[in-house]
Amino acid sequence: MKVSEQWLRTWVNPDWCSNTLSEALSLAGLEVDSLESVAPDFSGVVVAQVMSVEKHPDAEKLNVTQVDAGTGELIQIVCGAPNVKVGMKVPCAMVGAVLPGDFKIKKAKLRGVESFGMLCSGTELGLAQDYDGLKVLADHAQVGMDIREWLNLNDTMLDVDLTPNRADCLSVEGLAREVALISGASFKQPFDAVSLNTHGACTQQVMVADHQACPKYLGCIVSGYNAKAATPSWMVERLERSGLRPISLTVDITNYVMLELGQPMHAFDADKLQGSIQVRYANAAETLVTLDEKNLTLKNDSLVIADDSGAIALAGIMGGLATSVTDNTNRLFFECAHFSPLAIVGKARQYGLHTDSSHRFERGVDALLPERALARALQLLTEIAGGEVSDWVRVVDHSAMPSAKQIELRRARLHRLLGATIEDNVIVDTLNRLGCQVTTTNEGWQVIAPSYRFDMQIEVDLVEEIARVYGYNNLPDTQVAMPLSLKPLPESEQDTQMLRQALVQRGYHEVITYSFVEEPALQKLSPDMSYVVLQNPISEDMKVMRTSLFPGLLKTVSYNQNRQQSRIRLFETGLVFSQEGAEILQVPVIGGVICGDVAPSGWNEASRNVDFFDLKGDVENLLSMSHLEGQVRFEPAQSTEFHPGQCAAITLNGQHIGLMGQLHPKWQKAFELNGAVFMFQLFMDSLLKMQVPAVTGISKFPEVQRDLAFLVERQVSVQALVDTVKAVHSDILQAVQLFDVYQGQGVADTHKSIALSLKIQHAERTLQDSEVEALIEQIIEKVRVNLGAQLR
Amino acid sequence: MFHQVEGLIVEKDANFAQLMNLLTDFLRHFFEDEHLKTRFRPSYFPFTEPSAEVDIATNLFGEGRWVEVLGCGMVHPNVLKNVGIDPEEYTGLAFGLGVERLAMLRYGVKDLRQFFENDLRFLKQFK
Repeated sequence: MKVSEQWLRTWVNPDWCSNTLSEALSLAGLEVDSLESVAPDFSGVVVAQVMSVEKHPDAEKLNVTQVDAGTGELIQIVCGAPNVKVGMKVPCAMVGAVLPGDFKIKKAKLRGVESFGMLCSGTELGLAQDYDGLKVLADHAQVGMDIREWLNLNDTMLDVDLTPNRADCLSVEGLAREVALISGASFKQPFDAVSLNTHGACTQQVMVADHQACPKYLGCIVSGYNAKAATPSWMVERLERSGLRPISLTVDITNYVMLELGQPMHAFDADKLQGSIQVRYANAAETLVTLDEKNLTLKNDSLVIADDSGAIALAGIMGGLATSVTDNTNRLFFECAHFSPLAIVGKARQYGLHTDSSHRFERGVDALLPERALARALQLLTEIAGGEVSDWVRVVDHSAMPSAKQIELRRARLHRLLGATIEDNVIVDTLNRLGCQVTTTNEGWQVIAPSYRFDMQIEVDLVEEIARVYGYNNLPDTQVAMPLSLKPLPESEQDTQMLRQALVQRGYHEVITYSFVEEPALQKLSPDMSYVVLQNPISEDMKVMRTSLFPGLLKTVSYNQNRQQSRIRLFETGLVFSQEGAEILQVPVIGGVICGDVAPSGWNEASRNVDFFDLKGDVENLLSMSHLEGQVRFEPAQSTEFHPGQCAAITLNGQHIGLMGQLHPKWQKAFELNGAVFMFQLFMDSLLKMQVPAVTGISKFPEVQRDLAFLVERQVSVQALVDTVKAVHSDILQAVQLFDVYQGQGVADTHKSIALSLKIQHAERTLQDSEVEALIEQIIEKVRVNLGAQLR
Repeated sequence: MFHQVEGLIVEKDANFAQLMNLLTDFLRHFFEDEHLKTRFRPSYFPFTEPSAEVDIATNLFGEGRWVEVLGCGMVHPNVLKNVGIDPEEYTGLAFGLGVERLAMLRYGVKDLRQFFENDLRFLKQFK
């Protein structure tokens, strides 16, 4: 809500500057978003009248004027504005004036003619102006008067960002009450309410079909007023500064009263009404053309004002065009009603409307306000345009009106919630200043909130009000005191932060990508997974839930390659999603991607691109963080997203825990990536279980090492050979370690050589040579039989 | 995209003074500034009452400007009731803070989107 500080100060005028006022409002929960002067600083500009205009002897576009600026003699000013004419009143910057931008006005000679000042446009004074030329002032402007005073420019606009519970502050009066509350300055209505003499009964009948939706409906007829009367400039100015466009006197008055007191109201052309006014819900498919000429087909949950012809206004939202007030209106019907928020909330939006009226009724308006607001509107109208006012129609259902509630406030409860002891007299004084009726009880107070504070309903609402007025920052602060208990950090659980650090140590950067991905990208990468499609995606390229981290990671690689980053190592942790029948699975995973040079370029070694084994090393390192290095196996696998010859399935105790390998060249092209890209993804759960060490005794006896090299056919994997050796039943074979794989000269093209180092040791005694030899023979025999391996 | 951290203490005597202490303490640790100026401004959230927004004084956007960093309040009695906790017996303090918002203030990041563009030239600054 934008409010003029000057207007506000006519209601309450604390001894505070604008900044202090704005700060105090913010700290009372009415956050002031901005504080803007109506006009920038300038001085020395007065109202002047142009007395004569003559062509400049030596310049086509200039005129030489004589102006009366109230100094007692005419002043000569050279002026270039096209709209200058004799008799007009304009702002005149005198010699010595300082205009916005620290522009000083001095005596000058323009093409040989002396000029003692400058006639100003709105723009030159820093005022909004949508036309060219001098700012034209009203004929009754007082010559010589400071322009800031005449145009009332020493004003500041406060833009208050109201929270939804403070509908009572959607008016100057409401904000003024709040200023009075926090400043202690006195609050007074700046006009005298007059009760107008009425002339005869209201001829307009009103029927309310739903009293819950409309507990109060007031109206009256005004006739014989001057329909062409202009809106006074002070009202235009206040409306404009508050962001409302002046339209016509009647509309301006309803808007003005809404800003001033907070009550939206509507005026109909009484002669256009057919039969009685009915407040009812719309019939299905009933239509209405609104004031802004929108053609609405109404829904039957919308409250309307209707006459015998059908709906003529959307209640509390907007009037209809057919019954609107025009310059030719002779008789007005003023409507001033209370609509229940529940009947209005959400209705404007479903027609794409949001009006100042709906904004207020949705949040709630003081149910006791319509009487005052209607009287105020009639007072303004008859003062400005004359006219006779009929008796009021009053359709009020007291049982449907919001009732004043007794709220219990317990002293102990207030102290306990705030953690502070606030003196009783401070509490009572605050409640009184809030406009509450207070009676003392044994435990505290019984409180009735004023009708405009319908947000105050329960005890805690009062606690908040008291704390707010007391000042949150004046409350003590106290440490939380609680029973101490230990937070367990189980050794059997891995911390994901350790896993992240392990990758960061190896030069990876953590990224966060969207869980929503493009459907085609996902289809490309994992066509066999049934994925989850969003019902209401933000955009077409965020339509489905990712089934792996790869689409996001690969997009990030592409993003960075497009920014001249070639060496890329990224990882991400997060959930992946898949649809399993009716169920949606969410699985935590960790994944990474690498491409480009294996190391940052240096002087001491030639660079090369990363390969499968670089990534495998990183993955093994990650696994070793959770002590899984000896237990996992990498086995050749096929998966659509990976290169067919460069993909490994990672298993732990026979269970699939992830995949790694090179991105399929097809997808590398599709994602527009440069160079080979390697990537992995592991199920997070498999990395989060840690084994607590269970120590076995160390043998005191010597260890024997034997190295064996075997010739096997090329398709036999190292893993198969190691597994076969390990499968030999023996108490003394302690470890099997690969130390060489060789193909080439000396080995047949169909074969390769695999060299293993064996550690052999007995727990309780020194081994005999014969025992070792027996084991070696057993191993050689077993690999020969199982794999056709020959000792080299 | 943004991330939110929510905190909640429900105790027999959780109170607003503790909430203010807890958050002031947190912010001073987070920004590693034991003199950090904070202020609590009344606000409105449907699920807490009293509610507050917390501002810190920072020079990031001009000398000593107040910048809002988080929202907090005492858990609304209806919220406690709805989860089967008797609000007469227990009270709750609660807060919610935006991870990116705090990170922006902490590291001088001017545009929230940078966190999710994943530009290596940005990421490398967090080594």
